[in-house]
Amino acid sequence: MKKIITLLLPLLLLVSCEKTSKKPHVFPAPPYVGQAVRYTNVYANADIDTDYSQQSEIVQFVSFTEGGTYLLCRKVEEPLTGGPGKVSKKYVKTYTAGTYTIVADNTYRLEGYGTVKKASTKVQADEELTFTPTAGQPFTIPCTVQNATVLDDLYRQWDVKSTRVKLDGDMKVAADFAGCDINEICAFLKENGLYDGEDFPAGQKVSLVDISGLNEITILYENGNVDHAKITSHNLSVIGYQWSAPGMGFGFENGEATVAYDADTCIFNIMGNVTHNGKTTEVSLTWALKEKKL
Amino acid sequence: MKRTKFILAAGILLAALPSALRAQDYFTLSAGISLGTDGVGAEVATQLGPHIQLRAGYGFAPNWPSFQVSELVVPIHPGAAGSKTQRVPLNIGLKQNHGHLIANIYPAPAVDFFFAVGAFAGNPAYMAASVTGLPDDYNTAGISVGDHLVKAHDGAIKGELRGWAVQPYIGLGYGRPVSNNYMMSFAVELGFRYVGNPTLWTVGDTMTASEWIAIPKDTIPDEYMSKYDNFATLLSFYPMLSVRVYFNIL
Repeated sequence: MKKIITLLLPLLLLVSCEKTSKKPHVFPAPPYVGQAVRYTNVYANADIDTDYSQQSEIVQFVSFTEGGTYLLCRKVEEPLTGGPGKVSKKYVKTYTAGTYTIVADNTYRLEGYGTVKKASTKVQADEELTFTPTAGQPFTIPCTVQNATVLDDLYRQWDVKSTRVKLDGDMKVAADFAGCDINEICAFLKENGLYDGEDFPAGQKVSLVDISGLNEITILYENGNVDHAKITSHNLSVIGYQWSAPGMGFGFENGEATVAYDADTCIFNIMGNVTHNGKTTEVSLTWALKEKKL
Repeated sequence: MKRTKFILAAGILLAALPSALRAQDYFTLSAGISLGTDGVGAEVATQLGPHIQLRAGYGFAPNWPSFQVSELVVPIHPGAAGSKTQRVPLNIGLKQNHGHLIANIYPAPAVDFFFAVGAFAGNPAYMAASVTGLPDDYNTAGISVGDHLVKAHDGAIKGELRGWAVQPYIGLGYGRPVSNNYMMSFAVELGFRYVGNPTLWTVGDTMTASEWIAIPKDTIPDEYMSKYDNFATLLSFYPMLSVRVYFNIL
């Protein structure tokens, strides 16, 4: 009997299982943790001609996230010809985003824009900000102040390492792409007969994603375009969102995103749909996000 | 890692056997090498009386030998059935990484004919398959299986057939692992392992890593699934044919 057991021992070893336990990744604090703030122009909803008759644009709000991203929202005048001898004006919201640094003297230096200076050192319910664009005259606006109060690993700047597009139709197909180049993804899907929708402007490659406790998601593209969403709800793994741009496409305008972590990678997924040959198919876009190194 | 485990296991077996068997008067220990459908292997054997010889060993075949069994015609763009097509080879090979414990039963001690009964244990994979030379788009797109994406890597998709981790074996053969008359002996053997209900595994990519996953049958296109079903019952029985050479060592 002993003999049999001795012979069996190695076989038992062969079928034994190995388990490893992973420690959860500890994300370092983002560079401006605790300092995320949004300044909203108290006249943001005012009639531009009435309150700012000399300006062709007006700042709606400017956000400075804990991850080091600024988001500047402006109403910009677009002249329209309303008919012979008749000229009317149209204002559209435009977004500018980039990284920022806080320099001395309560001044934010905004990459690609200029500087914004606070009137006082203390963040108060009301604040005055002086904007000094690189190209243009300085101007000052009164603002209300909203601080981010919630901390979360998700709230930082992210790099998109890879993108997975998944189509859940008759066949469940998916494709992986390095980074997130919308032009490349659309071209691939078209070539493979999975998409026949609109083309996007060239250079629509994501250069950074910023998710903030100010309840904002900002996507900055290499061509300077910006997409912006409001976070409408956030529990541990599900985020409700509403994109500001109505033409986001793919049914991504609003809905819920799921968030999960695998070590130092954040898996961020949104669901939508795509119509091809008159048939609507569920589509999901999943990003593997890595903390952006500044 | 599993390979290291096998080597370690074989080492323990070799070290443990002499002390476990030394008390027996009729004990003789032999060691051998083998070549067969369980790959290249090594064995140690002892006799438990005139009717039974017990063998323990290990066989290894890392997708070898591999040969082309068919050609598939695939569209250059995987989602566009109407696009140009390309022929790609479908290869299969042996995939063995098993330890085994087998008893040779000699009905007539004077005759070298034997029945073999035992089991193989270790990596449940027993056959490898691959499709190579796939067009570039297959490195990007593929079939979605849960959280995994099954696509080509460097133009190749790998697969495995897997069965139970412990697979019972019966066979018959001629020869003696432990010979009472000669220092060297031979044996040939023919049989089969019952591997259970085989499942097809392949490499799937999560967002962060690649790992082996089982492919649910409903994700395989019907045209391929019907071909597979024709062979599914046969694939539950893995044929064993081997030639072994032994040397008495104790």
